Amino acid sequence: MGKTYLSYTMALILQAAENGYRYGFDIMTVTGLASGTVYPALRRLEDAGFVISKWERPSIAQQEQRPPRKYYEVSKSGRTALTEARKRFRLLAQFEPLVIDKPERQPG
Amino acid sequence: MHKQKRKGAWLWLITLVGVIVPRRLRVDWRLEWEAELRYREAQLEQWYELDRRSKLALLRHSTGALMDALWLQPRRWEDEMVQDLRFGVRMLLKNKSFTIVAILSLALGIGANTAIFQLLDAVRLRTLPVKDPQQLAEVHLADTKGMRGGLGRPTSVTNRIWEQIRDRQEAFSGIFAWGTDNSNLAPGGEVRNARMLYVSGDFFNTLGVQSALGRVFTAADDTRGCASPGLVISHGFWQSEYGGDASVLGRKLILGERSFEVIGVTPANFFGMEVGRSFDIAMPICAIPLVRGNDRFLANPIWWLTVTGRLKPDWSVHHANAQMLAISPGVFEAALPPDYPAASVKDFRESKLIAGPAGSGVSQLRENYEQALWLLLAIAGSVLLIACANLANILLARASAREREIAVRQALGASRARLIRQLLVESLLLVIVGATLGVALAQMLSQLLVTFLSTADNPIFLALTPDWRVLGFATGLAVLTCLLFGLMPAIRATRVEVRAALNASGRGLTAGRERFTLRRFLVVTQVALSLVLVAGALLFTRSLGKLLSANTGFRQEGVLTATVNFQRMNLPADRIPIFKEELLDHIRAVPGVESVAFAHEIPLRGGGAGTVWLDGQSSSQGHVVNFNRVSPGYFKTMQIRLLMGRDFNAGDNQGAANVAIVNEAFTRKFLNGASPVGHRLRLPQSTTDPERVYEIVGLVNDTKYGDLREEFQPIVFSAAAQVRGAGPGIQVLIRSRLSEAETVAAVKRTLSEVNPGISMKFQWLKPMIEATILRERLMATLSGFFGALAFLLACIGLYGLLSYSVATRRNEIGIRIALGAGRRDVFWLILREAFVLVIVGVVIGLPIIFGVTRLASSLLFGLTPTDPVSLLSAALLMLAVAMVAGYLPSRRATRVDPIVALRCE
Repeated sequence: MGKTYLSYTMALILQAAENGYRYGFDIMTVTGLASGTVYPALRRLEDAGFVISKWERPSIAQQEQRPPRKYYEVSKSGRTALTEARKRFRLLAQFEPLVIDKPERQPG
Repeated sequence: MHKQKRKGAWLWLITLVGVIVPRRLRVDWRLEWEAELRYREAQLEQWYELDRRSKLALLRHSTGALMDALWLQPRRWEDEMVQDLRFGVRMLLKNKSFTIVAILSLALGIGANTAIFQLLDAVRLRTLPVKDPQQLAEVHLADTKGMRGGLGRPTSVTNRIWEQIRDRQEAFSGIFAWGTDNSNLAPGGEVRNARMLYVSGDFFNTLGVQSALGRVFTAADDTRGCASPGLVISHGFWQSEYGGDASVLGRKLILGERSFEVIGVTPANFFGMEVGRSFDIAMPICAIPLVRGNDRFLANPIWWLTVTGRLKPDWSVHHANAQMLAISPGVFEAALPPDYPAASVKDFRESKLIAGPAGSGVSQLRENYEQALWLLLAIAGSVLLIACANLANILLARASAREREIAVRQALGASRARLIRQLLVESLLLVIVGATLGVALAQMLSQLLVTFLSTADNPIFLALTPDWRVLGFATGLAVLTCLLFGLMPAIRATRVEVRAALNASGRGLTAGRERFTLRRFLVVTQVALSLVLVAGALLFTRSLGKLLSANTGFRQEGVLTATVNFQRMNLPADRIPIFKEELLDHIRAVPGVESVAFAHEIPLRGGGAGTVWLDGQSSSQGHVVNFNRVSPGYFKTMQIRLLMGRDFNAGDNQGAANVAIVNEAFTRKFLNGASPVGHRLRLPQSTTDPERVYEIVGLVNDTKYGDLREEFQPIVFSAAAQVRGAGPGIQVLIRSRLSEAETVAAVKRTLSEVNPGISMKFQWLKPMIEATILRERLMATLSGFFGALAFLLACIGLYGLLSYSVATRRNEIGIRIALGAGRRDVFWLILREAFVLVIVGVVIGLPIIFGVTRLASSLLFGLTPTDPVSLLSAALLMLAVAMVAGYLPSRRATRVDPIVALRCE
């Protein structure tokens, strides 16, 4: 688990996870990054020990009749790395938590 | 579960891309992507009907899975690597004898190479353990033409020159001078020398070396005429003399006749400026008169100081060089000693100072051994190459045995690349274990080498901790080795005709010819390389033998040398020559002593040379001769024959006319071999004496003077009693009938009875002379060892090939015997192969020898690099390899029972 230098993209993804967007697709939506960027980044963050992946409880998935999803939690070292990255990328701090209800486009 | 029936294109894409995800991760991976896509799908459906636009968005998102899958590719390799490793370990454990042989030969090969490289690293490649060593530059004379007086290293300067450089230079931010000497620590009796390092005030500061304890010298410590300077001792001396006691500061130590106080200890890794030689005690240069009892080293033209400086930040060595040239006239004008020999004054004035890089310090060891070490590295590298060929050969044989296994695996779908990797991992495992052992072994071997090269007079100090260069070398060597012996068999092994291999029962009438060609090629290479190494070993061994039996012109056996010093008795100058005579009388009276004499120079320990000419000729007709000053009885003691005239006698003293005795080489050079007795020769003015005339009174046989390797050179012996101003020390030569220990004890007792303040040091002449050819001994010992190893490896390689050949050709041999071939025919069938391989190897090896041994010619004595005896013996030894390695397999072939061999069909 060597120290990984966090690029802005990686820091952004980590910040998103920290803000409660813990699924790959949610992170895509909230950051606007492509899935081909987000997933490899998550793998690297996981390799570096900055995020930990877990499967959600099957009961939740069963209720919704879909397979269980995998979510990513920011680890302690991930939080440290994020604090440091925040110092470098000032804009990160403005990344406020929001609630996703309707992605892609508004009904209407 | 109606949703699963309507499986969108995006989900199909995940299933498809999932194929390239490493198997271990595949299920997890598919599940994650599927879950996300389905979740999003459900969400979209919930919010608004799944229209085309959102379907496209889903598909777009799912294409990211490809990037994800690609990113995971490297893990596939890691996975299989673990499998390969596990399998490799299992295979190696299964073939224990092969594994042990392979690891041992790799450990030995890599260990020997690393050990030699480690030594080279220490003497050649490393820089001094000081701050920014690359900024250091040494200042010295461009040539030695103007140098007269006592000479140290050819790059040394006198104290006066150093002081001028210090005051005039502008290129260095700091500049210092240093010189070495020995000083006796014992109050009397047997000498115990401390290695002294005299340094100018800025020495430690410029180098950036801090003290480990107390303080080091500053500029304030080194002022002309310093009255009570302190001592800075080395870490090693602190440990050995004081047991590392921290209260050493303030302790007194007596040097010469004065007592000095210890003021500091240098760090453990600091050994001074000379690589290979450490120091015990450092003192300011101004203190040398206090220790030596006279100020000759400061005032007289004695060339003993090395000047080194740290370049100013924006100065290059080139730039500094130009400045040194510019200040040279001023420096030499001001530093010209008052009584400098008239003939050399002009050369002295015109001397030029130059600057050169000094980041790796100076090293006598480097000058003596660098070439030998590079050569040894090449030899050890060749041995490793031979060992690799052997391993490759065994692996090839094993590959044949595993042919079916590999065919089966290929038939089941293993790719060739995968199989090669698998086989390479096995080799890699061997190499890793071998190299690890090798590096450990190298630590011991290099220490052993240092011990080999150390003598009582010249203990070698080298920092032998493996640094990144050594480890890099070992690693590179290991990887190279692995590829060398592992890759070819691996490629070869996986090139199997699957169907043929599965069909055949692993036996044919004749085994695969192609595979044999490769193995024959390997054996021929081994023989050729071994031939070169064996020839090299013979050359060096014979060279050493010639040196050891070289005619020195005197008898080395049974002569004890005693370096006697009575400075502490403080005799008046006119009493010294008489006291020397008395000392000789005392020693002569020791029972068992046959004869005794003293000499200024002991043979083969270096000395002094100068130009002389015959009286009546001009000085331009002179030649350089070697000098020695000896007492009466010297020739008798050394058993040098007096061919003509007389020996020196008691009458040849200060009052009498100067007399000299010359050797045969002198008469050849000056008189075309005519009798020299009665001729007179002239010595030019020296830094201590005016021009003198000597009458030649005797002729002696030729003797070696400075070096065993040299041709006989002209020597002029003068009578020691006629030397003016001789100091309170002599080198006594004693020929004795008694045993070594008895002689030393008796002489020591006698001298101590004369005066307990007399200090003395004993050494036997023969081992002392043998120490001068340590390099040759090293080359002979190591090349002999490696040559023997190469010979053995070649035997094993050839034996392995022939045994295997006999085993695979059992049927053929059976048929031959059944058809009426005699035992002798079968025997020769196999042995002939051995001879053919060896002869081809020798034919290839001989030109290599001619090419390679020329590089070693400067290390040889009395032999040409193509010495026919050595080359012929090496070739014959290689034929012996064929006999030794071929005999057993050939005999086994004759024992083949045709009925049994043919029945196994």
